[in-house]
Formats: sequence, C-alpha cells, structure tokens
Amino acid sequence: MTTLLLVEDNAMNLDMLSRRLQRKGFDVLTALDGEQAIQMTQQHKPAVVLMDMSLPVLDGWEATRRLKADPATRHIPVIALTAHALPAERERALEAGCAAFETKPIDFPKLLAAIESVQR
Amino acid sequence: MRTWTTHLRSLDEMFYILIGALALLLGVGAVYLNWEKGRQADLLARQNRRAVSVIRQFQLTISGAESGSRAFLLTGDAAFLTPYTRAMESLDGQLTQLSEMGATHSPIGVRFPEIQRLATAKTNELTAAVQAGWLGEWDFATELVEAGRQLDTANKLQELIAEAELATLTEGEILTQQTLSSMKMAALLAVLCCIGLFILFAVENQRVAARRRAAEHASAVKSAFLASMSHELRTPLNAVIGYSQMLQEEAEAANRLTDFQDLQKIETAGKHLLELINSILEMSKIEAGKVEVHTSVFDVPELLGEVVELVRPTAAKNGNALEIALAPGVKLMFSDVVKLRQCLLNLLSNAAKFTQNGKIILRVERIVEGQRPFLRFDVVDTGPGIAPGEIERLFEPFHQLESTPIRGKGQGTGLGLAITRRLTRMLGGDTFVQSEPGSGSTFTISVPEEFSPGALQAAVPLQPSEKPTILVIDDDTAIHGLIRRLFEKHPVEVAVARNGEDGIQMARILNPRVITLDVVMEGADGWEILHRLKRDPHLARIPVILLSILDNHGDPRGFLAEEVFTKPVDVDRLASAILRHAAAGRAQSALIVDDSSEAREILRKQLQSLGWTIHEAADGAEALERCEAVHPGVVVLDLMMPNVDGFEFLSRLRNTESGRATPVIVVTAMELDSTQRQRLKQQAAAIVDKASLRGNELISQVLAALEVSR
Repeated sequence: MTTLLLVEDNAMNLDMLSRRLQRKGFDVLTALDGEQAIQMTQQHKPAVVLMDMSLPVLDGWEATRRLKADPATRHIPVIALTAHALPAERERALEAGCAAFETKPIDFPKLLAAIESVQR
Repeated sequence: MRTWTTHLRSLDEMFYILIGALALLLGVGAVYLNWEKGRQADLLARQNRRAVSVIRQFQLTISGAESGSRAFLLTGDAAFLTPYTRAMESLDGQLTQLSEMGATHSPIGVRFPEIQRLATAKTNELTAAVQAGWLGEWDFATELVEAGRQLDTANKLQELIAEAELATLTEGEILTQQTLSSMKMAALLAVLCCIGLFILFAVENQRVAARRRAAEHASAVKSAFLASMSHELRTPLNAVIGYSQMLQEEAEAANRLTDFQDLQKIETAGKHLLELINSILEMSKIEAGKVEVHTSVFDVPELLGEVVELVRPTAAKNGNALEIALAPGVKLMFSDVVKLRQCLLNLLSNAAKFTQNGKIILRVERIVEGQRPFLRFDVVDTGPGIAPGEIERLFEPFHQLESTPIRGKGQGTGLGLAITRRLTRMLGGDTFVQSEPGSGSTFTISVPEEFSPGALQAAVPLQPSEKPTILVIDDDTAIHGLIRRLFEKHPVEVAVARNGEDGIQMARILNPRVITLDVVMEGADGWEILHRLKRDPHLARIPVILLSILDNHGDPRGFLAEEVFTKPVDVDRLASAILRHAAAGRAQSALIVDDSSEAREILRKQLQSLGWTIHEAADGAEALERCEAVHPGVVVLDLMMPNVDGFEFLSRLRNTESGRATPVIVVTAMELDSTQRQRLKQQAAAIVDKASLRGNELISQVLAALEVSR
C-alpha cells in the first residue's frame, strides 16, 4: 500500500482529504505543521508528501527546502497544496523543491493524477 | 475616486486662499486708511505751522501799529509813525491771507469775521488818533486812545488770536493722537489676522497629514485584507466543496441517486460562490491598483487551443459548436498571457453559456493600427443578442442583463465583462461588443502584439548591434559608467537599462550576449526580473550576472543566475566574468598560431579565462594541419612566420571546406601597407596591433569575431 504524508493545519481539510485518499486505497499519515512534517517524513519515509504551504511553526516552503537538503529525504517528492493560484506562487513552490503544485479547492482527480505522476 | 479627492482638496485650498486674500485686503485697506490719515495729519500740521506764523505776524503788525501810533501821540515825533505806516500797508494783505486760510482751516475760519471786525475797528481807531495828532488836536487824540482802550479792542483781538493759535495746535495734536492710536489698532489687527491665519494653516496641515496617513493606512489595510481574504474565504469553501465531493463518491458507490444529485447541487453552488469571490477580489484588486502586468513571449495559437479546450465542455452542454479561425501571421505575442487567457475565457464562456444549439467562433487577426500591430480576438456567437440600450451597461460592474434567461440561475457574477475590459485596457487595448437582438453578438478584444509600459515607447527605437552586446540593468548610473569604461576600447557594445521593465524589453530587442542585473533596484524587485528573464523562452539562455549591494551568495533565488557579485565589485573579475559568460555556448576552442613560444604563451594566458581548449601551432603549415584536425572555433594568427607565413596560411585556409568560415584574428607587430591591409580585411575578422593588446581585449576581439561569423 502506498503511504502518503498529508501536511495540513486546517482540521476539516485534513479530515476530508485524508478520508478521501484512504478511500482510494492510500495509507495516509498526517502532520499539522512544517516541523512535524519533517519528523514524520524522516521517520516513515512516505512515498509522497502533500504539503500545504501556509503552515504554523515552519511554513511549507521552508519545510520542503529542508527535506530537499537532507540526503535521507531528498528523493521523496513533495506536492504543494496552496490556496493561491498566482503564477508567482507556483514558481515559489517549484523553487523550494516541490515536484508538483495543486490549487485549493483541490480537484481530486487531478491530485490523484499528480500523486501517480510524481512517483514515476 | 482620485478626481474626487483632488476636487475636494482644491475646494479646501480655494477656501483658505480666499480667507488669506481677504485678510490681506483688510490689512492693505487698514494701512491705506491710516496712511491717508497720517498724510492728512501731516498736511494739517504744516497748515497749523503756517497758520500760527501768519497769526503771529498779524499780531505783531497790530501791536507794532498800536505802539508806533502811541509813541507818536506821546512825543509828537513823526519818526515813530514808520512802524505804524508799514503796519497799515501790510495789514490788508495779511487779512486777505488769514481769510484765505480760514476757508480751509476751521480754527481760523470760525474766528475770522470777529478778527476782521476787531482789526478794522482797531485800525480805524488808530488812524483817527494819528490824524487828530497830525491836526494838533492832541487832547482829542488822547481821548480817542483812551476810548479805544476802554473798548479793549486790542486785548480782545489778542485773545482771539491766541485762542485761534491754541485751537489750531490742539486740533493738530488730536488728529496726530487719533492717527497714532488707529495705526496701533491696525497693526494689532494685522498681527491678529496673521496669527489666526497661521493657526488655521497649521490646523489644516495637520488635518491633511492626518487624512493622508489615514488613507495610506486604509490602503495598506485593504491590501492586507485582500491578501488574507483570498485565503480565508477559500479555506472553508474548500471544505464545503471537498466534503460534498466526498459524499457524492459515497452516494454513488451506495447507489443513492437522489443524495448524489443533491450533493452535486451543493458542490455546484460552492463552486459558483468561489467564482464570485474570486471575481470580487479580482475587481477590488484592479480598483485598488494592485494588479500588475507580467509580460512574456507566448505562442498565440497554443493559447487559443488551450482556452477553447477549457470552454468546450460548457459549449457542448448547450449544444454549441466551437471553432477557431486563425488568420495567417498570428504567431508570437509579447504581453501578459495570464490576463489575456482570463479575458478570452471570460468571453468564450459567456458565449457558451448564453448560446443554445448554435455556433461560437474565435476569430483572430493581426491588424496594424498606426505603427503598432494589434491582435484582434473576436468571439462571435449565434446567441440571443443584446438590445442596444443594454450594450454599454454590459461593462459596468455587477451588471447582468435583465433579459437573459440565465439570470438567477447562479451562473454569472456580473463582473466578467467589467474585469475583461479593465484587463485589456491595462494591456494597452480594449474590449468592445457589437450585437443585435436575434442575430447574435460579437465580443472583441484588441491588444497590442507587443506590450510597452510607456517608458520605452518614447525612446529611440533600439537596433540590435553587430557587435556582441552587454546589457546592464541597474538603476545605479555609476555601474553603467563603470562597465562602459571597462569595455571602452573593446569591440563590444554596452547597453544600459535603468529599470527591470525596460531591461526585459531591451533584452528582447538587442539579444545581448550577457546581462548584468542589479537585484536591489528601486521600484522593482531584481529577483522578479531575474525570474521573468529566465521564464521567457527567448531570453532564458542569456547568461545573467547578478550585482548586489547585499551579500546574496547563497540566496536560493540566485541559482537562476550564472554568477553573483557583491558591490563594490572587483572590476577585473567582473570584466572577465562578463566576457566568459558572453562567450559561453559559442566556440569551445581556439588555435593560436605564432612562431614564438613566448608570444603563444602570452596569448594563451589572455584567453585562458574563457575555459576553452587552446591549440597551438608554430607556423602556417602546422596551423593548417591543426585546423583540419580540431576545427577550432577561432584562430589567433601571427603574420611573420617561417615556412608558411600568415598571409599564405589565410589564403589556403579560405580554400578549404572546413576553414572557409572560421573567424581569424590577426595579431601582428608588423607595419602593414595598404595592399596587405586590404587583403587581410577580406580574409580576417580583425587586425590587432600586438603591442597595444591589453588585458581582456583579445577575448572581446574573439567575441566580436564570433558575432560577425554567426
């Protein structure tokens, strides 16, 4: 079973998205902030990290940068989830090392396709 | 909005200018009046002095006449009559003088008749006494004098004269006093006015400053609000849409069709709400001047394909055919692709929504208006059309057509066309509509093929140079001068742009070999410019050297640049970095041909910072062999060599297939005659004097030679 780490500080979004992903057959781990995200990634080595970008403690950009700087987690693809659809936001996420970028509200089939494609 | 505030401010200013003018007028009036009064007082004082002297003169005359006559009567000596006679002669004149003065001078005027009567009485009495004396009737004369004394004419006259004198002096004094006190009053009034005005101005200034601070604060608050709103509003909606989708999946799996349909309605409503929020935020951003144009080069047919595919589902749902009609010559565009895409989507989705079982055509043409080419996008539909009265109101925010069947079905925001028109205007174009009820509508967007932000529009049209060009994007003119001086004697063009926006445009026109970019420019974020340079497919390959006041080594954003320098820069390092990057991706090797190994060593050192493979040959024969073997990108050639010399080498090289176009730079210490020079000019890219070759110049020569041979 594919393990995903979902990083999201909004409880409803976290609940909803994790349940939908579970229903699609994923094993979903969750983290509520950037620091937890790094810990969980290092500990469980998920196949893909789904990262909200505006997070408390440590934001998604910084967390992604740190994951990409760590040889142990560098290979794990990160998909950025943000509420901002601006092109600059996309650039910023990709620059931080994200492999893909999805805008909220999440288009679920698109997200599934992105999870599929970043693993290849 | 702006014109209104300007208007209000000017009203305020008018009010204060009016008050100021009034106070000034009052002040000037008061000063004038006082000055006039003072002038009168001065006039009066002079009159008074004259009046007093005339009166005194008159008094002297009278008393002279009296004492003269008395002495004659007492002594009988006619010699005493002289003052009497003189007095009698001048008296008439003096009386006339007094009477004239009395006309304008009241203290004398009121008393003159009495003075005249008394003076006449006195002279008559004196004359009678003197005549009696002449006739020897001394007793009668003495009697007359006595009687005159009893009449006391002289005393009365004296009294009157003294009174007149006093009155004159007093009137003058009173007037002077009055003038002084009213002058004081006027001065006090003026000072009070000034203080009052000053306080008014100070208070008004405070008010203006406070208003400005409040406006700035409000603008900042609004920006922050807009930024956070887009996040705050989307997050709960995200949950609404997400949960409804999730429940739809469950309902579908459990075959609960009614639930599924209801949940679908929740999702549709949620998405519509999201669309509304996005439009309102967008509109507010445009109104607040927070929307910026981000230019890039993009492929128009590609964009059209993209937007048509996005609209196709909606069009198909309403039974509409959707077509693109692309005129020849429409290919690339330099503008804001995101905004243009949004505008086209807006018009196309409107057409797809409002047309039933019809046809929608997206027609694109290139039109030259004046000097500038425009791209014209027509969205033609066979929908219901729009009544003439409705057409202009279409572009007003929140306006939806009364007559449309769509209204109330939750499909539009009423902002789409207003946003489209504003965005196309930002791009230097406009949005129009042509329509008739029953025969469909044509919505048109016309946008310049090449966006120009005004500043560059007026500038001299730029021409790409034949020399390799270095583009300096920096707001610091010292850097412009520095880099120009570095390459002063080199066959290299240095172009400068004072801001990022111009820089990007100039880069597009000049196609520079290398760009230096200041990342801490005023009014523009150099990082943003760097991004845009690197995102643009036509510019991305141009090496960028960052110059920064701050130490930005290690800044993750810097990875897009080829090199980072911190100001103040080491000029030699900067020069060689510029040349190295300018040469990057060009030739990768050079052949140095010289019979002296020392000379070869010197030339090799000059070229080594390029990081190329450097081949060497000691004479023309060897050089030809090497050329066949390694195909050098450029040849640096000495002329005076044993066996096959430089001239011979060049002729033979030009006759080989591979060597025909290889750029050759002749580096020589030889004095050339005009025939030789002419011959070399045809065969070599440049002729350089060996003795004057310094520093990086050889690299510049190499770059220039490569540029020409392109």
